[in-house]
Amino acid sequence: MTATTATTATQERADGVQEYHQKSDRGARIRMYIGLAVLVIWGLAPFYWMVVTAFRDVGYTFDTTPWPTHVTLDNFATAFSTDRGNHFGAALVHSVIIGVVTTAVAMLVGVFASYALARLHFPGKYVVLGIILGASMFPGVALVTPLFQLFSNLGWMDGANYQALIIPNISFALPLTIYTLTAFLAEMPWDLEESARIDGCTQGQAFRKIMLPLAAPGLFTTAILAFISSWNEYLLAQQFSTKLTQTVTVAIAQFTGAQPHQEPYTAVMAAGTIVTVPLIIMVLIFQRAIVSGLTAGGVKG
Amino acid sequence: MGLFNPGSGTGGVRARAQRLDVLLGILGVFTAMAAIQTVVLELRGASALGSALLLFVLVLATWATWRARRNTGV
Repeated sequence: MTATTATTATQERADGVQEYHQKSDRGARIRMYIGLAVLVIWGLAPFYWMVVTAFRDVGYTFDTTPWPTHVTLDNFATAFSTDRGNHFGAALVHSVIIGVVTTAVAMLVGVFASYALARLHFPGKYVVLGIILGASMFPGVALVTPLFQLFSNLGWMDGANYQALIIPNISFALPLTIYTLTAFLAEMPWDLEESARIDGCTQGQAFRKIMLPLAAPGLFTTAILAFISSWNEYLLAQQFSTKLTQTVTVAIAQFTGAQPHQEPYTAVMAAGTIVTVPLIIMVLIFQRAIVSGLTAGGVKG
Repeated sequence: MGLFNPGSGTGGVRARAQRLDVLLGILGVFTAMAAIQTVVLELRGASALGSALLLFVLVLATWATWRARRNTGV
């Protein structure tokens, strides 16, 4: 009888502890979701407001209703209209050209540099990493004046000289690509390369045929990051672009409205939406690859 | 041992040496920039006192880092 009572008491205590833990888990989960909701709202609110304003009639620009009202597509037509001297469509093409070339060159150079830094052992390897980090820390605004002088002397400040935008962009994208790729390549299973070497591959072939396909998520992530950095660049583009090479960021900043001294906010928001949406779609489609690429090197086995 | 957790499994000395190497690289870039700026200002006959002082501080920092790196014995 006594033993039965003791067993029941133990059982009740265990049930109580389990219930307490279940409640505690539920509370922690609720707190986590509330925190996540705050973060998501905090991050998406400006973007949401941009989209809402982009679809709002120009007469209701400053309407503070939090959901879409007076919905119209006129702002998108205005953004692409060239009647007021805006060239948003052409600027989109220029941005794509500059972004693609910048990304391609940065990736080409970055892959080899990061392979050497991740794979080869040579004296001063970490000094080279420090130099790359130091070069990327150099403020862009400090480079504007000397680059302006240099490009003016070279005759790059007029006409369709994309190189005046591509070359400085590469100098900013390259440290990013080298650092991201080095972290990724350092975590690759190098035994596979050794196996390929034993099977008769040269070091170049082993890299090209075995390691490079395996590094695809890292390469893809890095390419997207490099493209986004080039796509969003404003400071250098504002200084070095001409009418024939103007990028979207500059084109949006220079939008002119129907009236002098009147900022066409709705058209600007429509243009911002057009510029942002492709990036968001790209990131959503490839988010798995991006996350695996970014977290490479975070955990060691 | 990964690239960005240097020294794991081989003790702290190697990790310290590698961190100092990275610092040496960063300081080297800024020292080189300051040196170029000072030389250009001197050659142009402009006031180079501020630039020279900055170069002096950077050279001192680079030297101290290099000494610390050498003392690691790696």
